[in-house]
This record gives sequence, C-alpha cells and structure tokens, in this order.
Amino acid sequence: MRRPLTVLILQEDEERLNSHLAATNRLGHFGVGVPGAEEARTRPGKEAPAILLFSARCWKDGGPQLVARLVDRGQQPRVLVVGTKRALRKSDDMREEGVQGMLLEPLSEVELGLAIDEVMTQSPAEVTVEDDTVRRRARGRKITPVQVSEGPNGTGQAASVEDAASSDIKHQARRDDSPIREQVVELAQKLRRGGARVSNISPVAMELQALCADGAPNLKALIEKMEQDPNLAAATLRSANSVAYRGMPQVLDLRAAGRRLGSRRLGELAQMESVKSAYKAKGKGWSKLMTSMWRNTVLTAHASRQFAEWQEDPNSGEVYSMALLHNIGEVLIVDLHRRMENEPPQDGFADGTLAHDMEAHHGAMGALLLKSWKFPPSLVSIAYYHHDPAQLPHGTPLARHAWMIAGCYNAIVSGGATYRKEHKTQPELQTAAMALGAKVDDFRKAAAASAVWWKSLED
Amino acid sequence: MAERPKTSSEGPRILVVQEDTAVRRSVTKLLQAAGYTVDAIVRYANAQQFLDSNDFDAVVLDLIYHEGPSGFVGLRDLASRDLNKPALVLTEDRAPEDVIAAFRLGASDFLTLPLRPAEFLAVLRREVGPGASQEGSDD
Repeated sequence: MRRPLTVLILQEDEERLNSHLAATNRLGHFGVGVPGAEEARTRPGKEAPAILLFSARCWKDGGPQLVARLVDRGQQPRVLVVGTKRALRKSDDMREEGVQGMLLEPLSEVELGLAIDEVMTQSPAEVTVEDDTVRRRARGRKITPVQVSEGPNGTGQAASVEDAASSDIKHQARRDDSPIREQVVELAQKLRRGGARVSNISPVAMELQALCADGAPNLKALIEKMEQDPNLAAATLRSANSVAYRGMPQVLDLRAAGRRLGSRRLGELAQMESVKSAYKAKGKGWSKLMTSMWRNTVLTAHASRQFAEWQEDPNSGEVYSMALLHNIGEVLIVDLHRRMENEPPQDGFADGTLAHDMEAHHGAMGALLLKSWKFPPSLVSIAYYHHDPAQLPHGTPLARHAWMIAGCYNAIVSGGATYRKEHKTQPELQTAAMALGAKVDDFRKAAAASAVWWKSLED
Repeated sequence: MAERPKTSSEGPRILVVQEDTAVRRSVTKLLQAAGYTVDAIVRYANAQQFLDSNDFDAVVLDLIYHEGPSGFVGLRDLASRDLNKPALVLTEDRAPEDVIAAFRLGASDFLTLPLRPAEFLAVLRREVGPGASQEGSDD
C-alpha cells in the first residue's frame, strides 16, 4: 500500500471542502483544506503537498501561479482539478495548462482514490511563468477522468490482505479489499472510460432512459427510438393490446400503439422495460434475486411518483426516472459476484458478502454508471446520495426528491418487497417525513398504492 | 534501532495512541494488569520512533486526533510499512463508512468506546497472544 500523502485541497465551497477532506481522510491520506490559492500561500504548516486538488474556480483564480511557486521552491506536486461538467468544459485548456487529472462532482471516495494512485505514477507538474502568461508543461503523461487506472500497488495491497490471518474479523476486512474490491476498481475504470459493457441494457434503451429523464418525452421521438429495439417494441404492442384496452381494435403498428398509450404511459413503459433488461441474470438463484430487485425498483419508482404528485411536486416524472435508476449500482455488484462464480443467493435473497458489497459499493458504482451514460447530474447525484439525502443542499428540489425516493424505498421494503435477508434501510421513515414536512403514513400509503398497481399488472 | 529483546516475564508490547487522557489511562491500566507492556502516546504524529524501531507487537489507535494525521492516516502508514503488526481501532461510535474505510486500510478490528475490558482483552489476546499474567490461564 502506498504511504500516506499530504493532499492540499483548494475549494471555495465549504460543504464540498469538508466532503473532500473526509474522503481524503478515509483513504488514509492527510488532507489540508483552504478556500483558495491565496490562503494556500499563507497557510500554517510547512509540509509539502504531494497532490494539489483544486476546484475549477480555485484553479482559475491563481492555481497555475501557486503551482509555479511551489515548483520554484523545489516541491514536486501533482495537480488534480475537480468540478462540475460545466466547470470542466474547458478541460482541454486546463490540460494544456498542465492539470494532470480531472474529476467530476460529486466526487466519490473510489474516484478520488483511483485518481491519486494514478497521478502519483506520473512525473510532477512542471511550471514556467512568463509575462503573466502561465505556460505549463507536465513532463508525465496527462490523464483525463476516463483514463484513471489502478496504480501498481493495487494488486499488492489485495495480496497482502489475502495473506493476513484468517480470523473472522480479518475475513470481514478482506470483504472490502479483495477480491470484490479489485473487481469494483476494474469496473470503475471501465465506467470511467465510458466503454463498460456491464449489463444487458441495450444502447437504445439507455438513449430512451436519457430522453425520459430530461423531462416530458416527445411521443414521436419516443416511438422512433423504440422502433430500434425489438424487445421494447414488443412490450409496447403487448401493453397497447392488453386487457386494459379490451374492446378496442388490436394494434400492430407502433405509432398507433403509442397514440393509444399516450406519451406519459409510453415513456414509463419504455423506462420500465429498458431497466428490466438490466435485471436479468442466468442461474436460478441469481435470476430470482434480480427479479426481486427489479420488482422493488419498479414499486419504489411508482410509489415515489405517487408521493411526488401528492406533494404537488411539478417534477413527478423526473422523480419516477430517478427512482427507477437509483439502485442500478446494485445490479453491477450482483453481476460481479455472478461472474466471479460465487455461490448464488439462497432463495433469491442477498445475504452475507453479497449483501455487504451491494450496500458498500452500489451508490458510487451506480453514479459512475449513470455518469458514463451521460445522464443528467441530478440522476447521478440521486444514485450517489440516496442513502444520505441530508448531504444534499437542504430544501432544494434535488434533496426533496432524494428524501421522497429514500422514504418510499423504505416503505416498500417494510411492506415486504425486499431482496435481502436482513434489509436495513436508511434513512428512517420518520427522518424522511420530517425533511419533507410529510407524514410517515404518506409513504406507507404510496407504497400500498404501488402494490395495488403491481397486482393489477399481474392480473 | 535494533529490536529490543523481551525478557521472559514481559508480555507482548502494545503501543497505545489515544488523545483522550481518561481513555488512555484506562487502557494502559487494563493492559498492564493483564500483563502487557504498554507505551502510551497522545497522537499518531508522535509514533515515529516506535514505528522505526519496530519494537511493538500491536497498535491500539483512535481514528480522530485534534492535531496532526488522523487514525486513517496511521492505518495506511502502518500498512505501507509492511510490519505485519495488528492495528486495533478503539474509537467513539463512527459512521459505517468510517468502519469500512478502517478495514480497507488494514485495521485488524474495530472496537467502540466506552471500553469493554473483556471484549478488548479477548481481541488483543487473539491478535498477539496473552499478557504475561494471563499465560496458560484459560486456554
């Protein structure tokens, strides 16, 4: 394992600064936080930072000059920048200036750890300042967010843990380090490259998801996409000819089916079916587990939209999309366990290591997956923060949606639609209700309504 | 520095890194009573000489210190030295993410305060063996 490094974090936003400090700390590195480049120059403590983690704004406001000064003093820092997609839109310019790695907000511990390992394999940034124009040259290979790979110590770390004593508690420690951690790291790399083929979701299905997640979908655009995917087309026709439309002439034309169902129903159907394709796995135990997970997801999505409508939230459609995808990271973890040929879950319920890994990694992995598929940042944030909506800015629509989804998920699980042997749900219903100014019973009613709707589908 | 040879009457040597004075004293007394040799320091930043001498059998450390590197940094530091000495975390109740992070960084066990003597000694006995006054007592 690499020795602890000093990471100087330059971040003007206090909340983000604290979050990045906590992530750095949990990685076992020594984080020092300052609100800007000017404060970095005058900060107490003389330890030379191995890594400078700038926010995009701090980089713009004197970042290159600060690095130049440190290099002039004989220090050898590496430079990372973290920001929103918008803030990093001039990433080419930043790379030209010498930034060695760029990371997207919200920044996860996994991403930060990978970026630190990667950037430390490179030569330090070298800076020259001439006539107020900063010309920076990085001697080493520059990296982008999608080029991060596990450092040379990664394998060694896992091996050393495997060599550790075999007491129960040490076995517990290994659960997070090896072998699943290696797989998670590898998968994270693929996701960051944007080329991961980790599930059964077709490209068309993902485009459809994105179309619906952006707001009310256009009927014509929806049908055009669905025509490209035979499974989705078949599901649409089945739905348009279902018993709900008994007495109406049979339709075999997708456009007619679309008109019959309407854009909202069609959008929902497209989303449900496309997500369903991800929740498929071969093998009895795995298949049963995936089916339970999918059922839970759809029930949660339905209940969340219902709850949002009761709350008179104008974006109930978005809430539906968010809820449908918020646990997509769990699919990745199940997929990893299945491919590692681990023991299939008994009776379709996740337990032990599998449940632990799902709990530990699904948020970050789901966020990375959605990010790699270029989903809106709101969906990525929900995937990442749904177990701790208090981390999101209080009172914002995003935080409200996260609380709604978390509460409905909790109520759905409490109602029996679970897929883990011991299903601990966070946050508590009471907390979610308080955050929304709602009643606990509202969540339960939404869950009950969702169950009734599901039953009508089965009938 | 050469490793200090243990005499037959000395139990395993434990390095306790604990900022809270009351907790540090309790742990020290408990360990000494059980026959362990104890070195107690306040912060991980001061642990350098012990780590360089490799003259200890286990470390008991907190996760948060008000000054200097945290216990997470300490755990990474210990792991990076390849000493193969157990590192027990003894701390206030923490978030699950902290517990996971500690194990990822190589913690052998994670115990929360208030100190439960029997549990603490049982874990230590498992990791480094009994203290001088415990040897042969209940195996």
